[in-house]
Amino acid sequence: MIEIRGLAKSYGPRLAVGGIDLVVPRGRIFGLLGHNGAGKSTTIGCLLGHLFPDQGSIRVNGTDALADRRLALARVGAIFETPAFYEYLSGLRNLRIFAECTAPVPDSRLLEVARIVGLADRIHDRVGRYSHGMRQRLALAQALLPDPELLIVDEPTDGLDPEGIHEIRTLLLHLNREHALTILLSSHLLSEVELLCTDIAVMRQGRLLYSGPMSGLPRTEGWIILKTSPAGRANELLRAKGWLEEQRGEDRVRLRPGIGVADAVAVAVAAGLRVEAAHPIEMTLEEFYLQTVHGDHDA
Amino acid sequence: MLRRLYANELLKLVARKRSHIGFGAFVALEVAFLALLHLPRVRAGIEKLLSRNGLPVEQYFSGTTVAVMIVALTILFLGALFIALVAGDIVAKEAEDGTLRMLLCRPVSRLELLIAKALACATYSCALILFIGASALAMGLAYRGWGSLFVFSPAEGVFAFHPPWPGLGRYLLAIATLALTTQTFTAVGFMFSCFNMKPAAATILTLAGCFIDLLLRMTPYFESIRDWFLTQHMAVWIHLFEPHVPWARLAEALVFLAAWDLTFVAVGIAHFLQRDIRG
Repeated sequence: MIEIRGLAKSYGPRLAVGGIDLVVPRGRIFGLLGHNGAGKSTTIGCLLGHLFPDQGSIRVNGTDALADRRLALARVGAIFETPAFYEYLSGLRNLRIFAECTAPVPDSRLLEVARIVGLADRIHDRVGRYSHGMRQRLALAQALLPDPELLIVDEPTDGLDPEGIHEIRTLLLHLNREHALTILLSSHLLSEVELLCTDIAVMRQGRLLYSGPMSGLPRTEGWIILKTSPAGRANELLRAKGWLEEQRGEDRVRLRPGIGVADAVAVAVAAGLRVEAAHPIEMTLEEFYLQTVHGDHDA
Repeated sequence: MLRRLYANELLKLVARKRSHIGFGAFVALEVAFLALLHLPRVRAGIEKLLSRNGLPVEQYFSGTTVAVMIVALTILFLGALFIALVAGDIVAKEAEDGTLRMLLCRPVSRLELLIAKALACATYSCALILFIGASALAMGLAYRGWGSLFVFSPAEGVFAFHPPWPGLGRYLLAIATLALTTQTFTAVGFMFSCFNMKPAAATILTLAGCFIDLLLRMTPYFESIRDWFLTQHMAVWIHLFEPHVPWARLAEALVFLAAWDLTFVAVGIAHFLQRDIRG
């Protein structure tokens, strides 16, 4: 759905994005992760034609977005962290203004989308009277109006209460599953990304550090839980055999590459120890993200 | 697409309170001007001027005469202010608020969007000037009634008097010309608005530019190059009251201003088309 090749953008002497390649497959929910200044917003800005890249190419749905922005964005919706609207106009009027930049939309469709995002009761009110949550819903409504194939969302749940976060997440998942919408999501909330995304990319200082499916994350890295009775005895045996590389607490150990949980359990059982728990430790997305970002930093 | 964008820009202008300030301010100013005319000393001054030139006061101190006085005394300052306010906001305010970024997520071309905005600004300026002309005439007629027209503008060297109907015709033509010439305020305001600056800065720069132009034009030192100043050509509307209208001069002024207007708009658009829109 999105194919970015060699994208580079600088603001004066500061490099914002340094020649990244990124592919967002159709029908996926793709999380773009990174600290502030990592280059996420610049990448999205180039994708939407707000920013002019110094180098590289961007294709959306097979169309060169830099050469034919109109065709490339024909079925793209976008939501920003702090959506801006015409405060002095009603929600409905705002929807019409934004929608008509793509194509004329009948009132029935505007009202239908307002109902989908739960704004039907207040859609005739002035936006100046809307709460933050209502603005986010209106932003989602305007993004859905071109009947998009691709939705670009920047911090969609920012500032929402837990119920609002749940509703937006449920709605995004519904749109992805029922309408095969591809979603590119930029977020700081790793827990949200973990619940929503099928794929992620991690950026740091304009470089892409990781890109791939969530299911393919290298989450174990050799760490296991090995809980035996008496406690700690198994670790001594593993160390004596040269299989133990690192230990945290009594029951968290990192084994030498090539040595698995079954090997460690076999050693413990052979020594007559009672094994109470033995399994690989899966890193959370947060742990993976921090390790990726800081590992790169340390390197 | 352009038609839809233009309609939406007009809708936004109409819905914003700031757009109406100009209309309200002019009505208030016209009322204040009439109150000033009511002062015995001011009245006496006008009556003295008319009678000294052999013109019957009751005939020539009329509604159309008052309307021309109101327009001549207010248009350059207040007209410039309110047109600059709207034109300076038209792009810069949306960029500042973030709505421009929302609009540009859509498959709309920047060029079309800017043309729609420029046209909406021009429409607003025309509407404001026509409103000023109509309301000044209505107030003048309500205050002094129907009669002949007397115009005296020492700065432009115009001294003229006309019977009632031809006088009204001249007045309407002058207001229409004014609606065209004040587009220069719109064009300058629009150009600054396209640059990466606050809306207030765009408005202030527009006003500053116009007033500097006016001050330099009024400076005797620059008398020999007066025709290079924009405000010199913008004042051409008053010459429509001359007994023999200088049509060639009028056409020259309109062409000169139109060329500059297009240049200002083109510079603004050219800059905006190259500009990064950041959040």
